[in-house]
Amino acid sequence: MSDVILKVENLSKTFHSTNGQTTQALDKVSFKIRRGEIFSLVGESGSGKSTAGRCLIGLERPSSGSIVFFGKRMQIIFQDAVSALSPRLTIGQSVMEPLDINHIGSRSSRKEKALEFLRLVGLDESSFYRLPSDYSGGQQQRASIARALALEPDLIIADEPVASLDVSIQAQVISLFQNLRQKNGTSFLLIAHDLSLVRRVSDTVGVMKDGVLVESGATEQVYQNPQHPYTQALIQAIPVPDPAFRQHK
Amino acid sequence: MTGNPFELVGLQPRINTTVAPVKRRHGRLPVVSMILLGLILLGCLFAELFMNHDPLYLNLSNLSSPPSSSFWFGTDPMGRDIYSMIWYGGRISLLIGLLSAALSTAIAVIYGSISASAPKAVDDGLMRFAELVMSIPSILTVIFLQAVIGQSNPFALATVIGVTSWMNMAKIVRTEVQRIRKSTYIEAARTMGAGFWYILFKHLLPGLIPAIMFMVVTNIGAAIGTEATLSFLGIGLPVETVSWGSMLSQADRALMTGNWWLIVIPGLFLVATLVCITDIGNYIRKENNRKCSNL
Ligand SMILES: Nc1ncnc2c1ncn2[C@@H]1O[C@H](COP(=O)(O)OP(=O)(O)OP(=O)(O)O)[C@@H](O)[C@H]1O
Ligand SMILES: [Mg+2]
Repeated sequence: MSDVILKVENLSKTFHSTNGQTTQALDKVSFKIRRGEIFSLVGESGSGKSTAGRCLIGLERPSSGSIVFFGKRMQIIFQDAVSALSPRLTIGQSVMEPLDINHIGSRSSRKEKALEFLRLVGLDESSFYRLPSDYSGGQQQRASIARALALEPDLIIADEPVASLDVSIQAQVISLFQNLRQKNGTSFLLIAHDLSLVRRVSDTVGVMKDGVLVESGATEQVYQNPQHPYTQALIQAIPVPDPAFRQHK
Repeated sequence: MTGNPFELVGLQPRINTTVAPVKRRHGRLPVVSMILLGLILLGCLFAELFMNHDPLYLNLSNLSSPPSSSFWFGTDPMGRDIYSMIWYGGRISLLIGLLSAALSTAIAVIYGSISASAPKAVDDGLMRFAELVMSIPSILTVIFLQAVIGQSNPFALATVIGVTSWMNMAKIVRTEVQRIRKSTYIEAARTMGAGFWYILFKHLLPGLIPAIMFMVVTNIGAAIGTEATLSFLGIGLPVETVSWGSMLSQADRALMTGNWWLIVIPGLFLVATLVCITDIGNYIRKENNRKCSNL
């Protein structure tokens, strides 16, 4: 049990909108994430992936079910990169914010740390003093990744962290995640719609449809031998991979 | 709607730029208003340097004398020097404006934030109450409160004006707080472990200030105007307490006797101050709108 960092059992979430409508965003979802594991959630838009992530970190109150976190700290990289940074704080202030809130280190050491994480995500030092509005969506996304890393969490919920980035930077961020996993044993819940990316990086994958986790298991197993008809349809829809690329791997 | 089937509702009207092809990214700074208001402010603040008579001294040999080399703006029916009273009394008027705007802003921020954060039923109740207060003519509330307090000093008046002019701002605060609270960066702060006060001081208030700044300025002007109105009607400050409003309260007699300086001079200062404040307020509002639409 000690190698499990997060255990989710029968997690359900129903939204009640003001006009009396109800949406079952999560329906009895259960899974486990082990330490140092990259667990990916895939599924069509509206299948409840973000809701799952938000329940885990406590931004959404689950309707029923249990979430047990065995780690020390969880952080989230939000799907909506642009509003994830305050328009009034500089990039540097935003990245330092988690350190400020938790009173970690001295002012100068916080700044050092923020600069270090900005470098890690490929932003240069001058960004420290600039406002998010000076930057593109992709650069803002990288700043918010840096912010999520600043507390050195042992579980990171990454909701479409690379969707707004160009391919080369995508690769850079993904390898950053893999380094963190290797060096610090960080675990990831990666929410993504790029199925070939998911296959490349994740150990375990869960497939969601209409709030239900229809299938989950070791990535290669799921990709090579999908059980659920929905998973089969998803896998079939992946464009045929470039053979040269597959060999490269 | 105009019956045009393609009209979009809810878009900002766009001024036809071909008619006025002036491309201004920034609204022009209201320089004239700022200078004029600055001068009036300085005059009131350093009234002692400008006054050439004691504004409270009743010069019984010079009752209602017209402007002259000795009394630049003339004297009032009690023999006081109007030029000196303008600066001295302006201080009271501005003080009332600032105090009551500060009070109404504080109430609006607290009330609006609570309303925005409360459960829907409480929120609805609070907004209904604000509308109810708003629907009562404020002059009635002011007269009522004045009667309850039973005092006519500047502080009491500022309090009364303040507690009757927070409703519009509270509504704006509520809308803004609701908007800002939904921002992902607030959620982010919460996931980092930020508490209520941190979020309030670090995110909500700084986000709020630009949106309500214009209302604060407008409220200062409105409060000065209300003080003048009340004093003019004889339910504000008594004639013995010098303010622009109490000076104007002598206007009824002035009209019959043809002593124009009794009305024109304090009236001019009052109107100039209010116009300048409104102008600056409008500039702040436009700047803020421009910044919002640029995002
Ligand atoms: N705050 C909310 N109130 C009401 N309904 C919501 C709320 N948040 C999400 N939902 C609904 O819950 C369902 C799941 O939404 P969710 O955002 O988790 O999907 P998703 O898998 O992340 O989709 P995407 O890939 O587009 O990000 C959707 O039907 C959505 O409309
Ligand atoms: Mg989502």
